[in-house]
Amino acid sequence: MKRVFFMLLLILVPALLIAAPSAARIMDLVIDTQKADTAAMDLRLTLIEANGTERERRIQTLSRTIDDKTSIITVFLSPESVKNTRFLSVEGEDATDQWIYLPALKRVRKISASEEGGSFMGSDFSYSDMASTTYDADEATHRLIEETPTTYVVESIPKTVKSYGKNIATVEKDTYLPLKVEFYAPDGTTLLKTLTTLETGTVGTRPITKVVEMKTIATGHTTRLEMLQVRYDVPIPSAYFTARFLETGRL
Amino acid sequence: MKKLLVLILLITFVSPLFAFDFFATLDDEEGLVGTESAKPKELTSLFVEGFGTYHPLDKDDPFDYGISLGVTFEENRDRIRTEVDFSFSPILRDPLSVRTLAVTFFFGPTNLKVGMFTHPWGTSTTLHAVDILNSQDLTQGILDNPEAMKKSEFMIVYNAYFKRSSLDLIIKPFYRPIDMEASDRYAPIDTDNLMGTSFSHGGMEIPIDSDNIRVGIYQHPTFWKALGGGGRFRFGIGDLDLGFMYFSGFYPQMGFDIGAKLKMKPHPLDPTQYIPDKVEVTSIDFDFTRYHLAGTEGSLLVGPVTIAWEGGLFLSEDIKGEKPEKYNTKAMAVVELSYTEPKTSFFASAAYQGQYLFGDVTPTVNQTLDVAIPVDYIASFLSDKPYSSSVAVAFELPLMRERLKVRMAATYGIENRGLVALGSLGYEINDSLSVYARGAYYDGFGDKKSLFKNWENNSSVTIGMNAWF
Repeated sequence: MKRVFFMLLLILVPALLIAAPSAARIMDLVIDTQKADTAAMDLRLTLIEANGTERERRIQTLSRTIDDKTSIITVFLSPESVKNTRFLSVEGEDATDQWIYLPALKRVRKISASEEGGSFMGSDFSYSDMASTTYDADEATHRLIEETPTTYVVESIPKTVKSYGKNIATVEKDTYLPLKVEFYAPDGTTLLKTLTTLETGTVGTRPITKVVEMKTIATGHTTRLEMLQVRYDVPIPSAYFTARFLETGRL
Repeated sequence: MKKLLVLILLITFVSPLFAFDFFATLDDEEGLVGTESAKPKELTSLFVEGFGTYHPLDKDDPFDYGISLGVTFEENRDRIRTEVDFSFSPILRDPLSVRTLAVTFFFGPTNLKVGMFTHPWGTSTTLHAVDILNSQDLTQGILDNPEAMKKSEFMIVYNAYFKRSSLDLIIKPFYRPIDMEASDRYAPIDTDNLMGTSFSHGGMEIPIDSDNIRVGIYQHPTFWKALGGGGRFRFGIGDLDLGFMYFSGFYPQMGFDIGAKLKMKPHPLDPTQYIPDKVEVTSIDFDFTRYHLAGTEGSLLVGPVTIAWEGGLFLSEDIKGEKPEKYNTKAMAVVELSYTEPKTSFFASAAYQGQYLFGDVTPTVNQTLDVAIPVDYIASFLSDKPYSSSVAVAFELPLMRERLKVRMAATYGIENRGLVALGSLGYEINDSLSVYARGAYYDGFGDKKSLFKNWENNSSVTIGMNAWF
């Protein structure tokens, strides 16, 4: 009996040691991989209609997280119709404050914060997609539904259903980058959008997704998001997240 | 004018150019992950606008058309920003229109801006009470963006920003009057018939005879005598933003010193009695009114709705309102409710504006039959009420992934019953080419006189295109 038990241990322990991390742990690692105290990104969004017509938007976004509270300033660089529009979001203890500077009005307007949803600049990304395309362990119930030699496939059902009822993310094992994410309607069965990573790279030692495409299934409309420049954990002066910068575009 | 043009061209095409770029502030190239330089090369925008307008009610001159060429340019150096924004429209009376020609110097949390530009005051978006620093251009009618109707002026503005407050101080050395046509389509008054055919006095409608008027030479307040200046302090507490301002300067609307006599005639039934025949206007001389504004502005976010307000007392140099050629002291206020839908960028607003004039605003006749016609009476289109108010509604709705923009706006004068309604559809064909169709409807209900009643033949439909290079 002892021999049998010992044999079982010999077989099981190595298997347990190399077992896949839990689905929740995988999704936490996906978030952690992309987490930074500060981030500066220079992005190009190409809006591609089903017939192939393309339009381009350029933005730079700076973010800073202190005590789990994130402030983000987004500057719209092109096209002409939105150039120099600036958008500031400051997460507080109870709520997130948002202001927008509209160059046509030359005024700053405080607006109510959007919880989720809403197209970002007419793209296939919503405002919440721009913040994150996956859920962490606390936000959703995760289940590992498939594992290949190079990827994990995790199903995430958000605890509070807003825009999406379910996400299925394909995560690269080496980097914990999401290679593909499927977004389902609140009914959990209708596929709304798919996010596909077209190109990955590294900044320093940090893996990043350089080019991703989000496709809306119902319309065939696609948005390609390219990271032209990105810097993590660089000093970003707090003056960027102020009414002064919002109003003047300068520190 | 040539020198100005050369200066603009030099600034525009000689300087190295770039827009906002955080990455340009970093020392190294690390982090460049794209296949091309991410630094924005688009520095200068050249644009062309062409349009055709049809005025169905104007049988004499139903069509307008035009083309304008424009340049906008912004260069940001370490401590200096240069901005140029001008357009050239060969068919306009003043072909070169400079909207911005300014340099801003940055010193830590403060900056100093010098040049020709507009500087907005006030928190509402449609109607304003305290947005008084720039005069308006009424030669193209009413546009759905009040900011686009403003004329740039030479100003020196110092801005200082603190943690949750800011201060701006303004000096305006020159006088720039409101731009309006004396005759032609968008003349605010019918000059052939002066202010109308008659005005009420003593219970009678007395015709105005405006033949043979001597019009004085227009000469506005000269340099330094026209000096205006003021400041504004804004601060925020939670969701409340509040500001207080003071300004001393001249109204951009000119005043009029009108020489007029009441002519009498024998009563048709009793020739021994005399009754008013007409008011004979003999001369009009221009005048200007200095005022002091003590005002406030504010906004409060309540749930999804922004409540904005502006208000102020415009204390005239003619404190008692005794000089008919000077504008009287007035109080003015605006309250606006607006809503911005963050998910769709849909914007809607409704605003109320009211003003009250202090002092006498009705025409008077003295014993020698001299008629004093207060300029406030003329400005309110012969209304002898000391108050007036108007309401405005507006919305903007982006559709088709922001390719199509629908805008509507309307203003209605409660006392004068004048209405203007504006609507537009803008469609972005691609990033550098868009087309638009817009309509303007002017009307005046009843027999009340108003600017919009005078413009009722100017209702129009316009189609046009914008191209950027």
